[in-house]
Amino acid sequence: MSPPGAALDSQADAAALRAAWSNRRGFYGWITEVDHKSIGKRYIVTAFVFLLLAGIEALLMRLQLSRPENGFLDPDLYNQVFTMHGTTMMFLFATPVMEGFGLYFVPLMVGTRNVAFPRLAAFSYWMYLFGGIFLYAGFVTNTGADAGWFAYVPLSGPEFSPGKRVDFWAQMITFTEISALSTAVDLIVTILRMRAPGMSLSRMPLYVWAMLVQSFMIVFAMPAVMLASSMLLADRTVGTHFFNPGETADPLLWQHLFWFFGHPEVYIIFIPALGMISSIIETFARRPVFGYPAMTLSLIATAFMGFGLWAHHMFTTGLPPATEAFFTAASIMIAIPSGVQVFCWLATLWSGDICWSTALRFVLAFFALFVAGGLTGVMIASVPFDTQAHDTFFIVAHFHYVLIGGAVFPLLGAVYYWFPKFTGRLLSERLGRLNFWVTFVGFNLTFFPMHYLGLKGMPRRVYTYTPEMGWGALNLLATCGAAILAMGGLLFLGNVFWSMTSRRTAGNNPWAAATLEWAADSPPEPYSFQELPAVSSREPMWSEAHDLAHVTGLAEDRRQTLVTSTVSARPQHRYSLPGPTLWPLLAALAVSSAFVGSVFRPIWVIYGAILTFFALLGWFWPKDYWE
Amino acid sequence: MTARRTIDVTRLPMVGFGWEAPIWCGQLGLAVIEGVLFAMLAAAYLYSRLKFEVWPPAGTNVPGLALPTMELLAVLASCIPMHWGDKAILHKEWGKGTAGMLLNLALGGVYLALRILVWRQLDFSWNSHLYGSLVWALLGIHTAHIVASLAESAVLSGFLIAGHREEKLRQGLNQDEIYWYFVAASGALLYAIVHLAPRLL
Repeated sequence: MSPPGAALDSQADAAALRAAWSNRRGFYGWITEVDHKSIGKRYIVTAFVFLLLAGIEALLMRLQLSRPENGFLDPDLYNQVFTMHGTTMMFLFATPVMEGFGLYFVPLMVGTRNVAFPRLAAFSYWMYLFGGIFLYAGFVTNTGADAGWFAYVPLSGPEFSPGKRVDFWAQMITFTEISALSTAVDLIVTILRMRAPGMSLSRMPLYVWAMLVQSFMIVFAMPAVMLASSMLLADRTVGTHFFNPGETADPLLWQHLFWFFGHPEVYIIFIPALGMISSIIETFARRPVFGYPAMTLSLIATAFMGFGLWAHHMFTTGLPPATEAFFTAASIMIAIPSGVQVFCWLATLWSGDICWSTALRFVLAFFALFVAGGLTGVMIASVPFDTQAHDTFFIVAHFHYVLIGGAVFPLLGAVYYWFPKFTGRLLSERLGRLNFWVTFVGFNLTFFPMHYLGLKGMPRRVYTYTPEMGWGALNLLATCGAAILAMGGLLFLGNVFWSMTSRRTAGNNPWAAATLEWAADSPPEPYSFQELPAVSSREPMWSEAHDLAHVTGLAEDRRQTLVTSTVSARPQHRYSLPGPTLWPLLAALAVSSAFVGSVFRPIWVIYGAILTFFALLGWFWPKDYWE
Repeated sequence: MTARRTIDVTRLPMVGFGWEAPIWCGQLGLAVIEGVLFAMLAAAYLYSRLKFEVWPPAGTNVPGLALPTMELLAVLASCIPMHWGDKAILHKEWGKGTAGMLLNLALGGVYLALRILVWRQLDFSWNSHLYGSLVWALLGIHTAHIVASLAESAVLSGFLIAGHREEKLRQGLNQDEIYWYFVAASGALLYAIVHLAPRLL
């Protein structure tokens, strides 16, 4: 029996918490928001808008290539479209969407009320949004980037790409990398310092492990590309010679710096997807994931090895043979931790009690597609084969299998899985099955023929081909596949809109899943948990759901949460978090003024730095919400 | 029926310092990010060096070692008052802490002044040649960090002098400390790359 008045108390608590954690409505509330759930959702929705744009660009390319000597896109526009497609997918969709899921779910899964630095999360979103708008502002004014998503010098240098197109591209990199780096630090600190009491590192959900590993990868990979793109911009705007072959500079330096980021980037996109897969498989196999230590160690091993592969993108540039051998070995070796994880998941499914949901279907498709992409990956890790296949459609097929099969399919599964948490509504499973099959068939029809086209010699990034090459039929097939894939995308959007308007509510834990995000309401209250949970197992919602321990003694009328020790998550001190504020937006505008301005006039670096100083001064002005 | 298991945190402190404070960890994360950036730039310098027979290019003078060495000594010395000032502030010995901060600011100011003198010794610009671009980039990025960190220290010292005693300010000073150590450490790397490397490599 609960003591009399307990129900009344908890209502009063909830009202106080809601007052402390809510933000005002309307536009001002929107631009001052610092709640990780709102920012996470914004990230995800914005990323899907960019996915839609990149998808439209992909369809334009497929239309152009659907028959030989087609005149639908002229070469100049085609260059812009394929560059915008790759750039958007990598920088404005794939990384940010994973960050958005991390911002939304990491705090819920570790049982806390917000990220460690809520204002930094807001700042990170604004930087991402402004960077994306900047790039597309260029595109619609005929200043669309056109030197490929990796902008190799000397093509992208001042001599061969005059005008502002590459400048827009280079500066967009800095925007999005600052955004991703901010979120990475935010998530690392949230994960290492703010887990629910009792959630030792060895009890962390695998998704949280994945986000921790991914965030560390971002910290070590992204500065390289920020530096490279800034050097490129300086070469183009103020006449430095970092990549100028005329001054004995080595253009390959660009490739080294770019791929030192670019290869880890693949894992930065892919590792969060592995975490999603673990969450989904655990729930729908109704048992803990087999081999938890092997899974976490594989994630960490993948991250380390991911930094030792970059030069395999450069096999045709004439690297020394010893270097080629090293990178070949490393590229083949990374198949080992991926294999360990795949076998652990298979063992989980094998010994589990499988519940066939749409989310699980997308994950099962991952196995087929990712293994296919992984196998072609092992093939092109070998230098002689890569020399043959380099710059052909075989590579296009390979990385679409890895990135769409390896990351986008699990991501769509994750949307089906977590949609009830975001919205309180379930997506339609029937429409979901249709969505799945149409997407799966469309994807394979689009990209499987590209393997064959590549082996028959069709080069990438060329706007057309002659009929004698004999590539017409398979290209037409791929274009038909793309149309079907687009229908899959429309079905997905249709399902989302249909479900948003449906009245059927999902409940807090519709899948009877094991992790803490399902202890919160669907959708969660702004404070996420009325009482912070404490756990004593890896699957708290299975083993202790009816008796989940909780934390008492935190203020309810202020934004307060708990800091715990890094390894064993023992409570250390209470932690007050800031409320809504305009400063992150102002800081992002100040930094943006430096970035956008310096594309046109270098002196704006100085003006923008001064503006940023004042924005940060306002941000950090001592307002003591502790006392 | 047993009561629900609870963990009472009423008696836990409201703030932590050092590794216990999330903001300190965040500052460390920023230092790591910027450290990777410097390391990459240093790698770009060494990689570019490989292509040259003569480095720096003929007709270019490497700046003398005297000023850069004084500069390095100044920044290393400035870490000492930073350290004991920060320790004093952790123990709420405000007077001693303020003195440490001001002494650090003074030595930091000397560091910046010497840096400007070193810069003025250069007889080449960022657009003279590749060597010039790399040296200017290393100096430029690092000097921007000196200015940013000094501005942060100056603002925080201003609050101290104005009588602010908030916990948030103590944490701010605590994190300012590691940022300055980062500036000093990357200054040592800069010394090795800009001033020693052309003499040794």
